[in-house]
Amino acid sequence: MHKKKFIRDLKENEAILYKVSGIYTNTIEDQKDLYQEIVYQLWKSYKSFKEESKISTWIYRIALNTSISYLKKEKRKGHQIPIDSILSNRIEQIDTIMEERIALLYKHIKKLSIIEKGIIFLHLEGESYDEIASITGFSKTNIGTRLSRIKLKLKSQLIK
Amino acid sequence: MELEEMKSIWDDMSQEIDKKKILTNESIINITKKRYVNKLRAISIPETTYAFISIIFSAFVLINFKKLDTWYLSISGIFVVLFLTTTSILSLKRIRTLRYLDIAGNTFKQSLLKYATGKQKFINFIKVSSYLTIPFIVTFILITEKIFNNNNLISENDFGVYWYILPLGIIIQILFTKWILIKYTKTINEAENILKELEQ
Repeated sequence: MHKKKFIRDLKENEAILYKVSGIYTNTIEDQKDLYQEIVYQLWKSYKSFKEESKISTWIYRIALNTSISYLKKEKRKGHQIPIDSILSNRIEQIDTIMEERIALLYKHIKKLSIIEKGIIFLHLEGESYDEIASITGFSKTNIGTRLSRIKLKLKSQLIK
Repeated sequence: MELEEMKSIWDDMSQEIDKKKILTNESIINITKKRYVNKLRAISIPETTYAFISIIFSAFVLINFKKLDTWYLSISGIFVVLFLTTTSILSLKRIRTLRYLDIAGNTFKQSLLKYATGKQKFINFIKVSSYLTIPFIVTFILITEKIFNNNNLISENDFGVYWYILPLGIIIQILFTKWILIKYTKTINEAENILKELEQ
C-alpha cells in the first residue's frame, strides 16, 4: 500500500524531477543520473513525509537538496538503471521551436549561481514566497531581495 | 531574457512535460531497489580499502612497538600510527556524511551551508595530508627498516635508502600539491562564493 501510494504520488509529480535535474546538470547522462538519484532519495525519505505539507512542496525540497548532494557525489556515480525512453526522448518529442526556446531558457538559468537556480526554479514553478521560504529556509523578505537581484542579472545577460 | 518571458516558456514546457509520462511502476521499483546497493558500493571502495590497510598496518606497528627502542623511533612509530588512523577515520567520516545526508530534514539553505563547509573541510584535510607526506615517508621508512630488518638507519648512519626515496617523495609531493591547486581552486572559490551568497 505504502509503495503503491509512493508510485502514484511520484508519477503525478515526475515533471518536477525532470525540470530540476535539467537545471543542475550539463549533460543528458548527468541529468539521467540525478533524476534517478532524486527518485531514490524520495523513496528513502517517503516514510518521513507526514502530509503536513503538499506532496509537491516535499518533492521540491528533496529534489533541490538531492541536487546539492549530487554536486558532492558527481564523480562517484553508481550504476544506472536503464529506463526505456527516459529524458532524452521526452525532449525530442517536443517541437523544434519549443525546444530552442527551452534551450535558451535553460542557458540563462544555468548562468545563475546554485542558490539563485533553486529560487528561480521555485518561482517559475509558481510557488508563493511563503512556500519558497519554507522549502529553502530563507526568509520571505530575503526571497524577494534575491528575486530582484536575479531579475537584474537576467537583464544584464540580455544586454551582453 | 525577461523573467516574464521565462515564466511563459516555463509554463509551456511544463504543460508539454506533464503530457508525457516516462516513469513506469517497474522502473520506479528498479531504481529504489538496485540503486541502493550500487551506490553504496561505488562510493565507499577507495576509502574503506585505504582504512583497512592503514588499520592493519597501524596494528602491526603497535604489536611491534617494543622493537622501536629509541626515543626517535618511538616518536616516528606514534606519528605513523596517528597519521594512518586519523586519515582513515576522516575519510570514513566523509563517506558517512555522504551517505547520511538529511535530504528530507534539511532546508535548501542548510544543505548549501553543509555542502560549502564540507568542501572547505575536505580541501583543508587534503592540504594538511599533502604537507605531511614527506615526514610520513621519512618516518615510515625508519620504522619499517627497524621492524622488518632490525636496522636502525639513524644510529648506523645508513641513509642510502633516502637518496632515492626522498627525491621521489618530494617530486610526488610537489606534483600532488600542484594537482590540488589546479583541481580544487574552482571548488574552493565555489564554496567561498556560496558562503558569501548565503550571508547576503
